[in-house]
Amino acid sequence: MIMKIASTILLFLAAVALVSCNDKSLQKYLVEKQDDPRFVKVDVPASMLEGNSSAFSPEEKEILQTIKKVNVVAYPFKDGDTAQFELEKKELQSILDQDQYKELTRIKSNDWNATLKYTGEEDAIDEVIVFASDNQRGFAVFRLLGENMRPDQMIKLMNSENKNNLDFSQLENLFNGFKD
Amino acid sequence: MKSNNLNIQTNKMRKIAIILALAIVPMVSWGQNAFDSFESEKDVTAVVVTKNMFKLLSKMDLNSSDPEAQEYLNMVDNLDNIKIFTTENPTVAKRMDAAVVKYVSDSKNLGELMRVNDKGQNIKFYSKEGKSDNFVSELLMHLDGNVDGKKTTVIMSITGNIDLKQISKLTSDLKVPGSEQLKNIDKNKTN
Repeated sequence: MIMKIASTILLFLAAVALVSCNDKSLQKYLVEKQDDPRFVKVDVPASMLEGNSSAFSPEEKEILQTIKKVNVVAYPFKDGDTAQFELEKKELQSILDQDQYKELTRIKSNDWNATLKYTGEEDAIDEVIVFASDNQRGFAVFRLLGENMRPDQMIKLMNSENKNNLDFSQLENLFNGFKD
Repeated sequence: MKSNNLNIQTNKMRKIAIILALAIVPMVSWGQNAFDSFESEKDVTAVVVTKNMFKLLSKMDLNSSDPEAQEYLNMVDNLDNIKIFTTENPTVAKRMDAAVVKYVSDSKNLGELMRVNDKGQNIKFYSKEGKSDNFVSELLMHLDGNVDGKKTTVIMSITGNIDLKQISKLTSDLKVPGSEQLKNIDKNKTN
């Protein structure tokens, strides 16, 4: 009798585990959307972020080398498109709900919300992800890809005099387009 | 033969028990917070900062030579999470107030730490005993009143091993209303 109950529970748990375990990565999702016209995409390789590379010190160059690329995918909201929008948003959310995407913080306001996540280890980050969603404008994933990025060094780079030499113009263009 | 069979059975049972325990643990640790439901509500602004963030922040020994920065990072490293819920909607505010009252009366170890009525703000702090005098394991703030010219209600819940001497620095950094009052909290406590 006990065995029967236990095995029923076990079966149930296994089913739950199977359902929740869609081990699809964000990478895979983004590749899938590569040719989807509803999405706006920008890929900026790290080499292009170094606007004027000669200005960086060897140490800063080393930090920069841990960054591979910046990747932005956006889904601008169009009127009457609520169902599709919600569907895509849900899929993305369920991918990011997986354990490998460690949540740092989430902020929610009346009609927008944003989540900051990362993958990797505390002192060796592989991916920094911002997922933002706005009921009127759409949603977007901003992704910073790297290899063993160290948060303390990133801060150092951002605070250095050379931060102005980082070229984010391509990203700014995208955000400006998104705003309109 | 029979005992062998029994052995296999108990072994199986043990395995099932372990699997069950593993499955239930995360469920129990989830949804602990009495105020989590406000996060999904309209007219509520919510900010949640997780332990992952604190672990990451503590790795950034910005000025490792500075003892004050070290203390700050140490405090941050010992936090579990911070949740802040804010609303300007009077109906939601009323429910928030009720949730705080219920939570405080339901939690045995949660006691009032400080009460401030100042500049049109009514702020109450509650805390749960921690490992020593200046440490608490939970800090709850409930603010009703005027924030930036608007009638606002704020609930802030912090859990972890909280150093009362340090926590106001963090909440000021997060721009939480009521942080000013929090600066005096360890003085009030020792009195």
